[in-house]
Amino acid sequence: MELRAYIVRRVLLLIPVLFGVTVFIFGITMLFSPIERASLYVRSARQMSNLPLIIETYGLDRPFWEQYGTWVSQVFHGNLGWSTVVHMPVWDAIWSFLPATVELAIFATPIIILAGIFLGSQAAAHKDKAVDHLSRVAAIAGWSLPTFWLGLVLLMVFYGYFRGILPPDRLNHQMSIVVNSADFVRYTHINTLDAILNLNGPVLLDALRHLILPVTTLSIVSVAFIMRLMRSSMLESLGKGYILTARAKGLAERVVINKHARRNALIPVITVSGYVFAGLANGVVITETIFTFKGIGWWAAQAATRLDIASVLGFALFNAVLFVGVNLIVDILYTRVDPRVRLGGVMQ
Amino acid sequence: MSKRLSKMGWIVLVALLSLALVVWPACTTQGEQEEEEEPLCSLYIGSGKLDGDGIPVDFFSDIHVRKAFCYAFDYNTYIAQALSGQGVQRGSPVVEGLYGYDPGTPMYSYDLDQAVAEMKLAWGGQAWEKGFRFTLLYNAGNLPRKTACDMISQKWASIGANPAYLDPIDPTRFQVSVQALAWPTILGKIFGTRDMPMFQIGWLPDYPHADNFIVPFMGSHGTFSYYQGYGDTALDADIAAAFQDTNPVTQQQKYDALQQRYYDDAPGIVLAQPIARRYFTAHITGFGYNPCESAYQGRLYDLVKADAGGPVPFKNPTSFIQESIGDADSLDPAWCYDTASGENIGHIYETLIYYDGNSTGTFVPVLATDTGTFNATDNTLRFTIKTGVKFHSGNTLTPQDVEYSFERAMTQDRPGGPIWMFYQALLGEDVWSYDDTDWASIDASIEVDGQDVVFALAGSYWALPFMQVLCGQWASIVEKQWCIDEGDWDGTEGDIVNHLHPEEPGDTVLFDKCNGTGPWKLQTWTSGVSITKVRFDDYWQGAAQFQYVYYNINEEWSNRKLKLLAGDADLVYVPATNFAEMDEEPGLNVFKNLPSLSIDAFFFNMIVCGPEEE
Repeated sequence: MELRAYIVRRVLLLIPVLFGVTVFIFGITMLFSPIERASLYVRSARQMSNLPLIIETYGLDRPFWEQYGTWVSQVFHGNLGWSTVVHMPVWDAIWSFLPATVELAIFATPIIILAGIFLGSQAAAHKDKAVDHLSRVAAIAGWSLPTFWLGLVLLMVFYGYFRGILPPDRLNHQMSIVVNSADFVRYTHINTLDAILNLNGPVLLDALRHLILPVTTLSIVSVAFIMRLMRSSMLESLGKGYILTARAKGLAERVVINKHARRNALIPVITVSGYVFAGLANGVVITETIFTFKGIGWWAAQAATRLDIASVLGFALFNAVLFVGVNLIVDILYTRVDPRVRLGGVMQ
Repeated sequence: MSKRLSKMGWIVLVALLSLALVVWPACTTQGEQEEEEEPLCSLYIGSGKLDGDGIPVDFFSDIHVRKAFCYAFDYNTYIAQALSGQGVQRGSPVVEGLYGYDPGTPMYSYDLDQAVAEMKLAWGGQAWEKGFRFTLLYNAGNLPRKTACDMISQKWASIGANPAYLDPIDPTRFQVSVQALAWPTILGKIFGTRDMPMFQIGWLPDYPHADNFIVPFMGSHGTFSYYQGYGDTALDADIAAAFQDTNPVTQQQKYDALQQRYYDDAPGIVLAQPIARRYFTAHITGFGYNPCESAYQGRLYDLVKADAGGPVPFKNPTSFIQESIGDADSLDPAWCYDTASGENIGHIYETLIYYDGNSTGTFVPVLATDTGTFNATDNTLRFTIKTGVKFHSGNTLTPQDVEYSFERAMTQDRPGGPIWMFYQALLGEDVWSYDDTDWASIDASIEVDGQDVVFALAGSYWALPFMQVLCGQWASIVEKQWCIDEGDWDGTEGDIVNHLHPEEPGDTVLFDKCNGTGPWKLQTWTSGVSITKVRFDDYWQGAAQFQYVYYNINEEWSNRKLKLLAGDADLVYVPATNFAEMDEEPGLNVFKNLPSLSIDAFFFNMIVCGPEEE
């Protein structure tokens, strides 16, 4: 099937996905009574005495489909609503908080994948030896550590005990002044990228320094996932006939593993890598809160706990688009990597 | 092909079913809620009858029940556990530091014998014989309130299990279960469905006067007392009489009587007035506390940052960095009714007068040349406005700006905002919002006379309280022409409708645009992250020490603590539960035993679910 047609078809699939996701979440929020949802719009005890006005103003007692319809028509006018937790339109909130999370995802994803691939293939190549056991134990230990515990411990050690070597936040105060000044152009709001584009060394170094702790936390916790997958995929690959042939041909073991076995073993890992990135771009609320590296995960968590329904729905839409997009990219990548697969066709 | 279809078919079927399972009850819940024939209006009153398995909806209307609960509360243990000892019990909502406070107000003591004696008198003895069962609720995450609920539950269970009170013992006779709900849900129950037998909520001063605490707790239309069904017209008359008494001696007697009345009627269990602390690094000096600034960092302009040595590193010499929880709602002074907004507005804008040091009843001039002249014959309060004061825009402060600031607030009148104080003080006790009055009255209540601004008060008894109102951030002075240029209200009657009753904080022009006379200008406000301000070099009292002032929103306690100890923050918010661990940290400048003008209390719901519709 032609690539362009395939992409179009997949993008069109986005519509029923969005419909299903939003109806689902909208339905759950409707389980609260109008009075409970009205209290979201209230800032002080005194305002609550005017509940009927609030319910009427926001149409909180209209039937479900009417409320949903109102919301959908708003979305088509480009209005995703107002996010009460951050006092800006939901659309602006998404674009405001996304860069921080994307920055974490951009740095954490390659580390997770490369470390996972490396550890996985080492473990598979030296199956049942010391390397295998050690790397599996280390990876599972990392996976089992609660993020909040690991993050706090790292913070206490590298920020508290070691006198501020690796600080939280995105930038220190001097650099944030530079970044907010008139001669620093904010192309993407991703500090490292903007620093490169502005050819500003000190900002880049400072941003990297602030990234070390949160990215390390995320990596330690997630690397086991890729590592285990790579290991089993590699073992399967190593058991194939062509490996025997390659060895019989007299190829060096290193070439056998790296060139022949690993490339084939990478296929499932590539599939999963997309989800690793999407899962991180989705937001990692605990890491973001602990290191005050506030991104979309923090915003979504605040919106959820404070019943900011407009934000929750906007975030659900964002997620749906993100996952469909990532799915699409991974599928296309897949066909590039594995010549046996055709888009929309059957594997031969 | 067919095999794949049926698999797809199953997936679609399951998806649709689960969708329906969620959506269907959601759809129908809406319609049914009004008509539902529920046998009981509340989930929290058990059987709804005095049969040992519940409580009737008017259970707490019997004073003996209320007194029994007041005696059965262990106040000292509550203060020790929930507030880490940082609190003082009070007998009424009027706390120490308020004008009108009576230190002689009696308080209930923890006395189970008395509690038992009172409960035996309740409902003709039936309450004791049959027992009761109901549910207490608190807002999830609030540890002090959870502790208070748990204590009530345990004490009543212990009474039933004590052979000295009940022989044979009956541990299940008095059952109070405890449940947590999200804060918005709790608010909806307090002010909407009113279905909780008892609720817990706190109050902070708008102006530090006993009236500001008595009305919400005892007035028939008070913010809390209305919803608990307490108060009547006779009591309202007493409250108004106390407020309007211009003789301080007789006024104090009236307030003493009202505080005694609260004890006698026991409409709630008053918990404790918290004692606050401030945690600075050792490099910060000059802090002056005022009880009205119960969350503020003090007059930032007076703070000095200098290297004091010690274990905390000295960083960012020209910046002041504060880490706290909670973002500002809006930087519009007319909107501002929360502490985070007030703190930040206080750096950017200024008021006519302010509290003198740590007093709540005497003042110093700020943008006025004196603390006001009150004319008793026509009930006017006159201020002469300083000359030569510059706004951040570069323009000079005029009395017209002052007039505009107040008129703007009163024609904006955001629902649930602070401006009711202006209406009450200037237009009288029947006027709570713009809807109760008109432009002509507002215009007439504030006039410019040369370099003076004259306020026409509704009564002479407003002289002191209105001056306290003028110290609040809602009374900040904005620049008229600049506001008009930015699209705000143009000062005419015809334009009022375009700015009246804004719904969202972002609906007002001054939400995130600031132009004040204060020592700092707004630089950036990143929602949920931080508010940064930069020094205003033409500040009329001279440029401030700090070139940058940061207010960072940081919900993670460990992060805040480490920042303070690393010198990356100069002041952080420390919750009461963490006071003990901070006591061991060196290199800090800690201010303890700061009286805060707030109170937390239980409220007895006299009629659960409210009285019958009138």
